[in-house]
Amino acid sequence: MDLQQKQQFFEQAIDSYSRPLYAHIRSIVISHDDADDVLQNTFLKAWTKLDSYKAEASMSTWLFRIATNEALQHHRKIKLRRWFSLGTLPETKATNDTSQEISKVLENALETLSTQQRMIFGMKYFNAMKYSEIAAITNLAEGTLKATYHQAVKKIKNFVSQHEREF
Amino acid sequence: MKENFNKHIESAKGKKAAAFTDIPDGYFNALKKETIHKVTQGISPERKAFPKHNRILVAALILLVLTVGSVVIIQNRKAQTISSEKMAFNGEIISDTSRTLLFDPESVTKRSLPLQQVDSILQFELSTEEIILYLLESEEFEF
Repeated sequence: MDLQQKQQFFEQAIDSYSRPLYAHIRSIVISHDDADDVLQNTFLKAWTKLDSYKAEASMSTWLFRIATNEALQHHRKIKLRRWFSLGTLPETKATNDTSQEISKVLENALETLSTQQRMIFGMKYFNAMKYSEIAAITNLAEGTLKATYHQAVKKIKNFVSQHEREF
Repeated sequence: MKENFNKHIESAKGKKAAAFTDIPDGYFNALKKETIHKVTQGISPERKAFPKHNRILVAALILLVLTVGSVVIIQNRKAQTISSEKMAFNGEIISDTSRTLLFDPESVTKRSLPLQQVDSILQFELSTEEIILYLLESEEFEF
């Protein structure tokens, strides 16, 4: 594969996978800015490793694996940063925009889940992936994935009912 | 608001990035351009082999270990000094335990054990009379 072919292939990959990868990353790292950093890093890493990519795994699985590793690594960094800054979170701007508020509520709901629950919920719910596809990416058993997903859904439902007054 | 959120979360199923409503317009086009630009410029993923906060953490741990170590050593030295006693008689020091404490008590005991055994053997094999007779016969012995 020459450089031009490689670039063409890469552009197609960005077109096809940037949205599902964004949703997956966003459900792990929560904020848009972090998701943006991780997504760019994912594509840059994919570019550097494109020569070593073997068609054994599908392109989607390969990219999702890179994105998962990048997102988890970034999430660990955020947690450590929060720990060093004694748990203070960056202030969010108050907004009257309903869509922004919905996103904020969604972020808060996702925050109640564990990292693994968020990761699996993101892949299953937002990307409508099959358990077999998620299992290929995460190396987890399908039974574990099902249980984790149902726990995540339950937690989000609880969050919504508990915060009913705030809405 | 709750109804809106419920509607949103229900409709977000399978919507990928569209599930998140705060993504700036034209974000994905800009992302593609930026990524292709970085790739052609040969910019590698943003990662430091050893991030700054990790370095701070390691430095803090080393400092903590050194501080704790120093405190333990100083405390140990103090304990040795306090427990050492000097006994003096008419201004002359007749016993100084501070020197003894510098030795490992176990090794001192081990070293002195054979001498004690020899002493006890002599004590049991020679009667007191024999010792007195020896002393009386000895030329060096004088009252």
